[in-house]
Amino acid sequence: MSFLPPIPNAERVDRRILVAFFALLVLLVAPGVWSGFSPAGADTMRDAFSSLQSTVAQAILVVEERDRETEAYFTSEMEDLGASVDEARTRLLGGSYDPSVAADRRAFVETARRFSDLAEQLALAADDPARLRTGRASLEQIKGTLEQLGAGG
Amino acid sequence: MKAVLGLTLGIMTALGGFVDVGELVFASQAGGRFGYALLWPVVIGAAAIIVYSEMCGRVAIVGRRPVFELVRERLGFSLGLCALIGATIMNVLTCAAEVGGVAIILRLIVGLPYGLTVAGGLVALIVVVSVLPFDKLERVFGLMGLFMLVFVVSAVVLGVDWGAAAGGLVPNVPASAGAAPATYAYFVVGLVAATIMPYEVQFYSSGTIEEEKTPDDLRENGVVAGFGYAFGSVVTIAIIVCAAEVLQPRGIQPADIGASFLGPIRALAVVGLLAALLGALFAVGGAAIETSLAGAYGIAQFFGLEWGKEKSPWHVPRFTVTWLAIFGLAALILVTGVDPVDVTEYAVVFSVVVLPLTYLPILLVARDRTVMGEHVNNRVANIAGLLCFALVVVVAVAAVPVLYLSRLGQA
Repeated sequence: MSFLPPIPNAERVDRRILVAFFALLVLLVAPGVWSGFSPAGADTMRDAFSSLQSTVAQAILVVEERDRETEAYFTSEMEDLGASVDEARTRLLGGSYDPSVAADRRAFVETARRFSDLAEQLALAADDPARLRTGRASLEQIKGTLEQLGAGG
Repeated sequence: MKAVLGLTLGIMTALGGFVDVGELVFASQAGGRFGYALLWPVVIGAAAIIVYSEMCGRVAIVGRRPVFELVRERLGFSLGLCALIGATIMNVLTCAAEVGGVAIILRLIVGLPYGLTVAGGLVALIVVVSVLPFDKLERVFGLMGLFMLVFVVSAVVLGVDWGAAAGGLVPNVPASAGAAPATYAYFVVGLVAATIMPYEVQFYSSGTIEEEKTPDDLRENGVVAGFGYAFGSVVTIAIIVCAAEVLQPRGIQPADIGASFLGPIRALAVVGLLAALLGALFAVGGAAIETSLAGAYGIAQFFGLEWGKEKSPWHVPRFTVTWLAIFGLAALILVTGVDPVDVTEYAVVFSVVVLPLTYLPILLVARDRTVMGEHVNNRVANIAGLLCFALVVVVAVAAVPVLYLSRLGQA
């Protein structure tokens, strides 16, 4: 702190105030840290399926509106949607999980992989109406799969 | 003409404060999940930020006292230091989120890889802050931010459900919130907090001093604060409406910034998309600049250092190094690969801890006749200030349980 000039009317720091303040900060950070280390349970799977279902619906809308978008927007969105789902899949694969959600976890990982691959392919098909039509149909299939799995429910 | 140009300070602050990356994300998610039901937190937040911005602008004009000088004076060194630490963490996190937001928007415009747009966006922001004087900075970003009006046009084209909109302006708990009340509460807290982020008053107050405003400008201060933030709240409401019309019927709860532009795309096709991207680029870019400067203002003012964007960097080296360091820390955060949207959500919700500590000193000084003289708060301003402070405290107290119960809005 020597690079700072003398502080006018400087006071001693009251450590009790600082401790209370940092305790509050820890309290705020804790949920994020806790969820990062706790094994994936029913809540985690429900959130993951709900998020995937929403992402698939968004991808369908982006494809639907292709004629009204720029190529850069379409391609970037598809790449980003695919990457975000792939990241969620990798996180789930790498983390511990409650044995009771093993089947759900397998189903999520498989569906997420299908979506990521499809999004990657669609990103390269911005100007190919035929591939966009096929891709759209595949997205609808994934949506159907998720509905069957009871996503978000 | 001077008055019109003067308004741009308010517009830039409001767009940066309201329609930054946090607002884009929270508003789109709120509309996608709860339709029109969450318009009222934006209105309440707007009222609070208008009251406090007018007050901190008036204090800055009359007393020449910026926010963190007041914080230290009124809260004492220890508590003031806590407020400074909290505000600085929030400014760095928010700056990271905004720079990440700029990079994502640039990527949506030009299609380059994210890493390149982060680097390019960061360099561009630093150059702009270094080269442009304060008044040019605010005018460029304020005026270009007007492109955000495309969200208002889009909402009208998509067909606003005026009955639902009117219902959403009144505090309510919709049937769809029944299954997830904690998530609804999370969005209420998030929307209010995103509206009244502390960096907004830090920047506004310091900007008023930078512009060397005098008591003759007090009326303009009121108009700027009122018009600027009202404008920001209208744009935010339009973003919620667009999301309610386009995203909610399809079950989309957007997790990325790109989804915010689907409303303008559906309403106005490529023209709408490009206008929205351009407006968002300048609004989010403006917020990135505001957060870096607000961080430097806060530290300099608290420790009694020389500060000022209008001064030569060689005359205010610590101030200059601080805002550059905030951009540098933001870059380091983004290099870890963290999603700017996640950073935004944490920054917005965590900022509520700092809120009461930032807003209380402003209210205390604005009520102090020995400092403010004839420009002291009148009875209406006192009541409004106290009500808004009560809101700030309620939001701050609610933040922690809401965070836990809603699993950061995922429940």
